[in-house]
Amino acid sequence: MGRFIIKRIVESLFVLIIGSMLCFAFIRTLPGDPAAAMYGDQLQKLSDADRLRIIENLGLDESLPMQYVKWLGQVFQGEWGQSTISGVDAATVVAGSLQPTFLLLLSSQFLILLLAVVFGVSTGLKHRSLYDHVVTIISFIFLSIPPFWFALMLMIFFSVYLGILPTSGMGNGQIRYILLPSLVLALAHAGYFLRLIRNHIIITKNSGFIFALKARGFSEWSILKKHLLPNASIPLLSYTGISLAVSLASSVVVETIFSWPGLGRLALKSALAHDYPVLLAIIMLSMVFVILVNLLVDLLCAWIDPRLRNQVLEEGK
Amino acid sequence: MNIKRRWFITLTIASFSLLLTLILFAPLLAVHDPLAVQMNSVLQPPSSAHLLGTDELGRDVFSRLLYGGRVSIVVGAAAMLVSVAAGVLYGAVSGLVGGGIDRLMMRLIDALLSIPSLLLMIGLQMVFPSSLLSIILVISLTSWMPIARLIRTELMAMKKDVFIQASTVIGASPFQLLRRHMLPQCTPTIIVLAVSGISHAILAEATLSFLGIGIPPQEPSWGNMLMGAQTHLLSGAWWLAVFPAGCIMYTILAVNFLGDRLQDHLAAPQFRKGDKNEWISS
Repeated sequence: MGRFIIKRIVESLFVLIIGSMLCFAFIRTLPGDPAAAMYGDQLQKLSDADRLRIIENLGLDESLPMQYVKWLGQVFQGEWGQSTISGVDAATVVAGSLQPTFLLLLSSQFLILLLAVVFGVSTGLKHRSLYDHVVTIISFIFLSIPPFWFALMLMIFFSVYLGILPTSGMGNGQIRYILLPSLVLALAHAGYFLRLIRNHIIITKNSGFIFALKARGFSEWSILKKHLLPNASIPLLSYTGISLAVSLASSVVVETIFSWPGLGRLALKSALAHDYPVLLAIIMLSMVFVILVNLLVDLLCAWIDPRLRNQVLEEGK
Repeated sequence: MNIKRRWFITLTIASFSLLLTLILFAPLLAVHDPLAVQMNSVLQPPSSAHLLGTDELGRDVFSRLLYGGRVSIVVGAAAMLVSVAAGVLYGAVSGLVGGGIDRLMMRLIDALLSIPSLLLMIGLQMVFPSSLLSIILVISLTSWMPIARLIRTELMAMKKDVFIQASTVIGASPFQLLRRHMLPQCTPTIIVLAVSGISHAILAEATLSFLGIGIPPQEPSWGNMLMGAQTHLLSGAWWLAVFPAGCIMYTILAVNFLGDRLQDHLAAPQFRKGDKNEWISS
């Protein structure tokens, strides 16, 4: 286990470093001269010597690797630049949107797990029944609906037609505000989870040890609780890491439609206003978050199932 | 394969071809100019003059739908081609070379996949000026990674196969191995990935256009037609939203369904699901 932990942590560090290089490359490919961005029209009035001084002050005369190292140091000290719209520190702007997004992700992840376990297990057990077909087709349809369209439909039905749920914002954090956004986020890819669990249950259900347990007279319920569900927990857990990145991506759409004051809406707003520091801060933050959660998920999976550890260690040879 | 199932597949193929034909012959079928603004017939419900009604600027929804379909299909196909080509190339190099380079290449994919796809697209959209070409580039740049990873895994597994080892023994170069033995073996995987790539790209284009950072607003696309519809939906102009959204959903469902059948058709006989109605895929 020790070797596995170290291997995975080193890998994640590598991914982090490459990711930070990508972010740095992103800054450098952005259109526009940094000096021009700082001084705007005033730049025309400056002398060549002044311009050179500005470039030196910004550290743009050094080699790229040197600039990268300096930039990384700034990132670690929390200096992410200022928002070009409000002039406030990008870190402060982003920090204000963290909690709403976190709430949204948590509630939608909870809904996903609930839906996937309930329907995944029941369809897996009733494999090839009418119920199984109906649920599978419905989940297939939900995977094909564009999330923004689904969000609009829910909003029209519940908020405009029935008038029981609010259309936008997060109020004072009442549950009815979060209901629709998290439902859209969850249904957009609960189908993957559902199929994953269903297939896993079908495969495990027909394996020898379940047959043996049945032969020895264990009840269906205790087999499900003690053997089928624990076995299905691994794919569930490992997919959670991937689903996080997907949820963060869809949250841009969902938060924009429901005016949810989170990271996704902020990202789109700053992109439309060409507010690069804020956009970059959001991208970096979500990247680090996804990498860390994936690391955690992998370690948890390996802790639960020793076979996975060995598989990964074998791969390296 | 039972008759009911075959009938359903035929129906899907027929209706999807019909949609494609309509889109292909858009200039002949569209009676009105999709860009012509007519302020005297704004937000008209479907009628004989305007088959599917008009939008907030009096533009004919039917014509815009046909021309918008061209954008969606072109973006879907082009982005898929670029991302599959890039993914297969990257995966093949990584899988063939192996060792440290392979590990480094895979970490790069991990890093790219850790950035939520839509955020990556938004970021890239900032770098390129917004146009049809930039959308295609942005979508393909953000969707080749899973393809590369899958191809690499397949090559890695194949390297241990006896027929590959035998070819190596008689002196086949890595390029020959790849072209004559490995890629043909990967063809079913590549085709299935390509089909799902189309629906992914169509959905991505619609999402970006809907958010207002995709296809420029004056040009019709199914996604940005919906962006305009959002505000008028509440006042009862359902035709603005229902038709473009219906087209997107139908196209994605049809492409996904056909891809699923294709996957089954391409699989080795013992792995076919056949008439067992199952959508088991990885």
